[in-house]
Amino acid sequence: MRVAFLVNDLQLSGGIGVVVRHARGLAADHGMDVSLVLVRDWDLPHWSGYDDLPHLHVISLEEARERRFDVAVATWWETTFSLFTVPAKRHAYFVQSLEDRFYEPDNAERVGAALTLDLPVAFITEARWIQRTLAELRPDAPCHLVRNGIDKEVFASPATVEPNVAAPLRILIEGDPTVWFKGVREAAKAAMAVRAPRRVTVVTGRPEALEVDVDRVITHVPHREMAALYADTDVVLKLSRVEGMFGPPLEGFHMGATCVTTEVTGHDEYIEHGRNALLVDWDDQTGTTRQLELLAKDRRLLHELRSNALATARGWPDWSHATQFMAIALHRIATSKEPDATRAAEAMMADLRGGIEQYGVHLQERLEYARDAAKLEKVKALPGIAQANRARQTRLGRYTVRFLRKLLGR
Amino acid sequence: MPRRAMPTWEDRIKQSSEPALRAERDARYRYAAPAIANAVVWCDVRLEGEPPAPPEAFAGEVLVLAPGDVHQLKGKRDVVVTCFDVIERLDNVAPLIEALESLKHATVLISVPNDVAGQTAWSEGSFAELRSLLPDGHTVANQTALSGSSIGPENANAPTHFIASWGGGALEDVREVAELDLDEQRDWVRRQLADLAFYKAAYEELRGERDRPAPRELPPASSS
Repeated sequence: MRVAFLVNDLQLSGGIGVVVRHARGLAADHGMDVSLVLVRDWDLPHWSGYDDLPHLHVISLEEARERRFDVAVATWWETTFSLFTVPAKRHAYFVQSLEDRFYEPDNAERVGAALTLDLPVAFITEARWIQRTLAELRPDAPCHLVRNGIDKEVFASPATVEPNVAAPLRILIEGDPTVWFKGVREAAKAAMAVRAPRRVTVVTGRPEALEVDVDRVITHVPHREMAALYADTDVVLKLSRVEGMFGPPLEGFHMGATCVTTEVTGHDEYIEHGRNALLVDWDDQTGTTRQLELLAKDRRLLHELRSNALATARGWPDWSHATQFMAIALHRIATSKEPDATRAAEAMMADLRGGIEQYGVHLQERLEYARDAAKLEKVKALPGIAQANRARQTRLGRYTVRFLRKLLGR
Repeated sequence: MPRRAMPTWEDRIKQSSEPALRAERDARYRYAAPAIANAVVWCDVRLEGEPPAPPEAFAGEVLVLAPGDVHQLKGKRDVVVTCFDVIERLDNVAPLIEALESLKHATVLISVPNDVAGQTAWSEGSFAELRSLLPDGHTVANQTALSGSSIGPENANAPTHFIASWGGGALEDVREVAELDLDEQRDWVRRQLADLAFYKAAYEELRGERDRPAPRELPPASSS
């Protein structure tokens, strides 16, 4: 069976890592002929971060267009642009998150990413919340669930959790502070507000963007070192707003760390409040700090959560198990009938209409703001106003404004 | 090369197994019995051992197949396939699932354990994955553990309590059966273990503090 996974690049990242793990397993253990198709032009082969990809073909889009596959799989919303140009018996879409949520409401990509879920494809996804959402959005399309595995050799669980009876609470935060939905800065603030003895570690590739002084910052950590860091952690703190399968706490679970987290999408795959982790409300820095304080003070509870987290991790599949399901899903897609294009088009046009209406509303709002701004500009340009504004910028003007404010009690 | 279906650990349920596990297995075959009774062929997929006797009303052919031989059923009609306690013991489940799904004129029953203790990766999440690959219209039944007690005349089984009564009329036998919340039960066990480990570590910490030599008081510095 010939399978093509379409990827933007092969830079080391969570989403690409999952695709590469499946591709490797399908080729090595399930006898499939797997190609990774780079849909963007690159000067050099891009697979930095991976030692080797011995069983796989890494090919360009042009090369892929000259071959024929049993299944071609898009792996990120932008790769769907090229999906139907790759000759294949069936086309599928591996949805690792609802990617429109990565963009803020005014962003054009948000509508684009959402529309790709209306394509006439079979879906594969890695989380039950995405499967449920897709079943509601596209009841006509088949959707196979294939959870991500965990590399149990890298994240090799200890036999038991060593209780932290009296040492400072070891808190770990990971992520890019510049990504708005990761909540890394908020997490760092909440953790640093803990008054009990604690050690806050932030693992990030962008330390300069953190803007919060923490006890320790570690950058550019490979997987194996990350496992060692989790092993030296009591609690992983995550205040994300969007996640797919929510991997980092699960990696922490494997090394005996519990988690304090928001009820982000994906958390319900394996997190249970009070059993193996603690949940906190959105935008509740004080509440988050209190939950961490609780763990710092109640070490028996901390140990129970950590022990249960480790037990949860033991029941999580490894990559070999995960790829078996990917293999079955691909076989099923290859042998099932083609998805109904009419139903897909119907869904797409309905969403497109919604998108256009939303865009119209935003445009109208902007026009109104522009009109108000123009009026203000006219007022500012009136004789005397402009001079007064300029006078306010001088040192004397600033002192005068401050004095008047004090006088008026404002 | 694709890996072949291989058993990874010993048969989970055998005659020497815990009685509760044997009762679980028997219940699964009883669940399948009405379907088997009306079948022309009953195929029990297993890695070793013998299947139980078919239901009395069954007059067809009994087949016992290894997971890798299920394809032999292709083309047979009115087949009932039971595949209990097998899937969790295979390294690669893909060929078995594919073979079972390809049977067009068969009733298939397959069991998956809810093994949250982590002996295998088969639990609620894995079952959700499997379900997404099963044919449309499949049904799911939950097998739950029961906890119970009965009060009645003396018999050969060891009782939990002895109840004596006198002065009134004869009392009727009582049987109480309730479904066991497996999560709660497992939580309780894990909590005991976690508490034990914690208090042991706390004890060691305190003992360390006690045994640590007290800081010696230095004599005041003599003035020169």
